[in-house]
Amino acid sequence: MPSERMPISALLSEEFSDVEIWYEDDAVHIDVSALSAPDPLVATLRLIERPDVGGLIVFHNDREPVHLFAELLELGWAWRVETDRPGVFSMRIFREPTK
Amino acid sequence: MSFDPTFLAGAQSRLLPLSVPFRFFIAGALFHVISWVLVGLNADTVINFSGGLGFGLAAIHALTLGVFVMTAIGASLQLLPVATKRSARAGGPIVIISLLYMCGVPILVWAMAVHDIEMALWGGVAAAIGLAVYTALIGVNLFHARGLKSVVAFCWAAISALVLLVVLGLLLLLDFDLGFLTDHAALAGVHLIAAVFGFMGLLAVGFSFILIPMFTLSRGMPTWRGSLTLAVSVLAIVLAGFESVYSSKVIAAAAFVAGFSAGAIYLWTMVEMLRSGMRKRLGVPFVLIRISWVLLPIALLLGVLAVGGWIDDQGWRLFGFVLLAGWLLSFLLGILLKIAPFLASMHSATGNGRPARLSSLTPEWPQKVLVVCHPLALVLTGGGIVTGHATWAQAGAMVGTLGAIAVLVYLLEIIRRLSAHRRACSEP
Repeated sequence: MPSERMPISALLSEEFSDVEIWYEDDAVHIDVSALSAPDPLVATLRLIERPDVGGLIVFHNDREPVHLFAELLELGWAWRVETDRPGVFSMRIFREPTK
Repeated sequence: MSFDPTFLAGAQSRLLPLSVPFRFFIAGALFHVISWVLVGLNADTVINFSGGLGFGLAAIHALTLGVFVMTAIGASLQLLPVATKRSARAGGPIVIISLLYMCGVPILVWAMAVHDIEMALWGGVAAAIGLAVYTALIGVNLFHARGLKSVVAFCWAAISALVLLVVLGLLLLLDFDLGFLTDHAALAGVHLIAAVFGFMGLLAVGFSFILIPMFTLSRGMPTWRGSLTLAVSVLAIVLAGFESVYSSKVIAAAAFVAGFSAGAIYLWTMVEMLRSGMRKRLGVPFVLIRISWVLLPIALLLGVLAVGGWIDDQGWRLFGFVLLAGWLLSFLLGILLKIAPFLASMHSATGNGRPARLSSLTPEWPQKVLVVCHPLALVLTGGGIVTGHATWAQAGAMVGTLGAIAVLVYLLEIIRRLSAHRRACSEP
């Protein structure tokens, strides 16, 4: 599926104008690397809370989101890190299957 | 598959060992207990404190250096590198800070209590060297920081105030022995202003702009709002310092106008963050944080009444008490209750083990004890200061001690739960 950039207002409130969000390969991608703390955390959690994002989000940042992991756990989401090198970080975030 | 075994592997450069922040948190919690015990054992002296060495000064420094600065060191050493995208460096400097500051402060506090100037100087110099290393470490981080301009500016202003308060503190100690200062009280006033509003106040306000949106899940504020708050705060602090030296009603009035303005912008921003935050159930920590926000303008109002001569000496003491134990201590306790399990959770994954949930690391009952005891201790001790009845202050100190012990138990219980989690993960 070709990547398709979505206008921010389509997925997240107009508050995070520096966030990039797009659909690609059946997942919602969010890039928060242009934001300063704590906005990457807040923008990602706000996206996760939306009922229309589905069960898979690909998160992009310029560093590992150290505060996000605890919140994801609490909300019942899991993750797999895909890229982690200086200046580039990405991971897949998905709902934990209910046991 | 649910969790990545490389959980926070790349973050290690920005995470210090958990023992670093927690050693300062636990030392701070111990000093919290000591502060209330000092008040309880010497309630009459404390509620009639009018400067000079003794248990009153010791209690104040147990609270300021022992609780506030100690906890601020632990939190800022870990939180600042994460926020500013810089590497956190453990090792030598942190060992020096830990040893010198943690040894220096109890010596200083004890020496103040027993009127031993020489011992106080030894303790003061040790603590000052520890703080100098801390300042250098934080300064290097801030110098290379990326983003968060207004918060970085808050931190620069706070550590500038820290340098001033340490230099003045040592001069004041020397003056107890040598008597070379022409106006000891005026410099003590500047020292107090640099400490309470300068270092601790600016740090509390600056970190609020990151931590409160993080906890409430609201957007960070625009940079201009932080810069404006900082500019007006610094103006108020400088004016208050001049007022302490020159005793001018005009300067005092200008300082209070600036102080109220800074407080209003700050509180307005905080209320906006609470309103726009996604998370509405904020728990016990935010009860304490809200109390601190209510007590900040009340403290400033008491300051106006005291400087204007509308209330007597007990009013001055109440002003100091509401400022320190009401605004700053309530705020710090609320923040500590939030960040301690958060930091622990970041260190909870080992090997292929599942990281611990925040809720499983957060003990509930010590928070409940604290949220009852702390406000009650404030009311009782404040009542003791107003009425001059030491028994009220003693009762307040007893309740406060109970709350302080609850904080200590809270931190130790987090460590116990984290260890249990790690053990469970390492079992085959």
